Amino acid sequence: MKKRVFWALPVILLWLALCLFAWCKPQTDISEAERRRLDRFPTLTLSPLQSGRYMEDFDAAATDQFPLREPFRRLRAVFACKVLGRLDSHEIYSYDGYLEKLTGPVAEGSLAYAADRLTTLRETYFPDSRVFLAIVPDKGYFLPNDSIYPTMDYDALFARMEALLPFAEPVELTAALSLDCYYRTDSHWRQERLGEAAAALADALGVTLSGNYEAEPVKTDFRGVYAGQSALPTEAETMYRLTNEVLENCTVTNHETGKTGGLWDWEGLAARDPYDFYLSGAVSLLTIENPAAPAESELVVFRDSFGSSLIPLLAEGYRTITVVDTRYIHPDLLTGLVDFHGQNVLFLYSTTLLNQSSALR
Amino acid sequence: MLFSSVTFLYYFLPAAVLLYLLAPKGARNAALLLFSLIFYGWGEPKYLLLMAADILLGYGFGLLLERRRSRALLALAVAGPVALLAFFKYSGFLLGGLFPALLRIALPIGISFYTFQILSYLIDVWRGETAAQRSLLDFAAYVALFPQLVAGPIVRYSSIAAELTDRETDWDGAAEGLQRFLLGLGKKVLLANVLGELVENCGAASSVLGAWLAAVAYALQIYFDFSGYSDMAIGLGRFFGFHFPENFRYPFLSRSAAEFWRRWHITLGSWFRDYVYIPLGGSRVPTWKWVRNLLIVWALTGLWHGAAWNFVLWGLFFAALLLFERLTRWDPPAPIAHAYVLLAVVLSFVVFRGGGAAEFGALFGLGVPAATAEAVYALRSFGPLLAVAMVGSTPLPCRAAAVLSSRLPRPLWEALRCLVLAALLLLCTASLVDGSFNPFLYFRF
Repeated sequence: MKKRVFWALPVILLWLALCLFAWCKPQTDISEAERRRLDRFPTLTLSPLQSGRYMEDFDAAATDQFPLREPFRRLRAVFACKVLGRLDSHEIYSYDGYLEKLTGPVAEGSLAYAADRLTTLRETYFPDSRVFLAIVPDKGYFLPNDSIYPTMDYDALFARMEALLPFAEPVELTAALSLDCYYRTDSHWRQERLGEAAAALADALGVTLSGNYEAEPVKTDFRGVYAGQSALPTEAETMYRLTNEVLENCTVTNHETGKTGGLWDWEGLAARDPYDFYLSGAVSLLTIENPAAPAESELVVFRDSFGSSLIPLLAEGYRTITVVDTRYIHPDLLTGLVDFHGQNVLFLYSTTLLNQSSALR
Repeated sequence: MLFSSVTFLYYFLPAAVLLYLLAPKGARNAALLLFSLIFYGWGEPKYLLLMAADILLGYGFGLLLERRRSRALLALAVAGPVALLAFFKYSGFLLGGLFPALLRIALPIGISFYTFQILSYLIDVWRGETAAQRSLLDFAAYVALFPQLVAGPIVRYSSIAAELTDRETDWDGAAEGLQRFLLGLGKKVLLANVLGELVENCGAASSVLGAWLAAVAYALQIYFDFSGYSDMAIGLGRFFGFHFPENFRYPFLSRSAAEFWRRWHITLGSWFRDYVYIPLGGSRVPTWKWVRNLLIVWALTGLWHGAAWNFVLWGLFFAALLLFERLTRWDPPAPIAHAYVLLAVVLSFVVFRGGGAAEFGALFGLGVPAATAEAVYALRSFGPLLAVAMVGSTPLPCRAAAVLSSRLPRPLWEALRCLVLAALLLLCTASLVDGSFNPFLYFRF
């Protein structure tokens, strides 16, 4: 053995240790941080071997099932951002401790598509209703204009949507929000900071909210979707719920499962996305009932995920709120499921969704 | 299978090395062949038959050519591999308009590389410069040798004929091979892949800044991608006792296009020189013939890289540069010469990438602003990496390592080397596990 080997030996041993670890490690089903199912090693059979499918599946599984996956992902992110000076990790950047996704310029085509979908809804189901449009800005709206990160022209987006939906009465939410209304590690806003936004919305809709809530912590180790996607080191956050006696007595019917429960989905807290705690997350059709409100007060909300934490706060003002997410249900199927009879209708969508609206049906 | 994949690094390679070391000396080529076939068949099992046909043709005609050195027999021998290459690589390009079905033929990985190796073998046997290989197994192991099978270097049979039958795998060579492999892996995964992200995200056709960023980043990306692969191949060769030829020697330091091609993809340049250019007469012919030879060689060089007009144009662009240099006796002061080569190479790779007229126009500000927010962001985000890549494409890192090795006490230097290589392994693994951008540009050739 020559002297050259002495420096090479630790590297070879490290390599072998990782090999053995990779070969012996039990398979994992889920990546909690990435919130996705991991590929598992395929079973060796002739047909996929001949077609090459076996090899593709093996490659995917070898990568997904590699030991110490999260520490390795973090190592890459830290190396890229701290050593090589990258300003983002997988298109997610950190500004003053807030993780945010890089936004492209305003996508005119996407706005037109969204407007077309919403206009069709109105023409089909509620041509005579009062319609309101509230656009939820993403975190980028509140970052300073001199930030080095490219940002979309939010004012242009708001103006364009208002022009494309002339029948809708715009509701300004930006004045009631600030950067700290959002989670640092997630795309969404925080329910406990939405009192002012809910009040602004209620004021435009002509209902009154008490504004008296108790903020109760429900999860102290929340790491949002951006933390997992970027793999950047982050601190856990606390999720809260806003509650009061009226909200505690509200009931929510999930028309996908047929189950009825409260405004908060406690099982959702343990789901892949703990934000499912609010109105069970991605659900196509819900009804919120508030027995304390006047019988004739009703609202229909077409929304995206930002609505999950805001809409419950509106429940104080309505006997019934019907919550529809047309990303998960085709509008044609609403006939018979939702009784449109002149109620007010609210379009509550985020800038993120409007600028990438292809999921709307 | 990619060298830069978890499958290769942590499943295939350890198994191949283990079996190779455990195999008796006489069975080592069989072990190499077995793993080479698995390596090749991993991505495209159906093309194993194609490679087997090429191997059988090369082997059989090699034996025949040794007995009877006739031009007609050589033409027949060469026709087989060339026909297969032409069908799979060029039929869509040449006849796709008439027969659209030809456009759907997928290019078998590495066919250009192993076809050229077989051609050089056949020609060398015909010329009497090397003896025909009598063992089908050894010949198959040469053609299919997985370290250099899919992206070179183009290893001529004559350069490793002796090692095919008698080679030693020693610790010293393996350690050298390990270092070379990990440096190549780092070039590929930590530099080329990330530069590729810059090329994709800087808005190449949207602003002058974006266009130049994309052009410079792509030239560096393809250099680190391809030279990284060559380093890995050479390193793996050392693992198994082979000495493959060098393929890159700091091409961006060149002072002329001619010098650039003596430093860039050296094994391809020398292949075309020895098997096309010189047989055509080289430069010791009347000027018009020399120009013809140059155009043929560079059109073929372009076509070798891809069956598309942009590759032909790219090759002819270099032919034009070589003509210009030769006819004007190009010898300007060093700064001008370096600037000329860098500019020419960067522009040539815009053509190579198929950037199109819009991208080319953007380089010169035609119809686009000086900069967009995305281009400025890309420059800020990737600027440090670009600087590292630029320095990394020069001999400076090697010189710095040489200085360190001479000034540091030996144990400290070896500890440092060990740390750097371990860090490279971990960082590359981290990037691969995170599923980052990972195409091999030279696989399509």
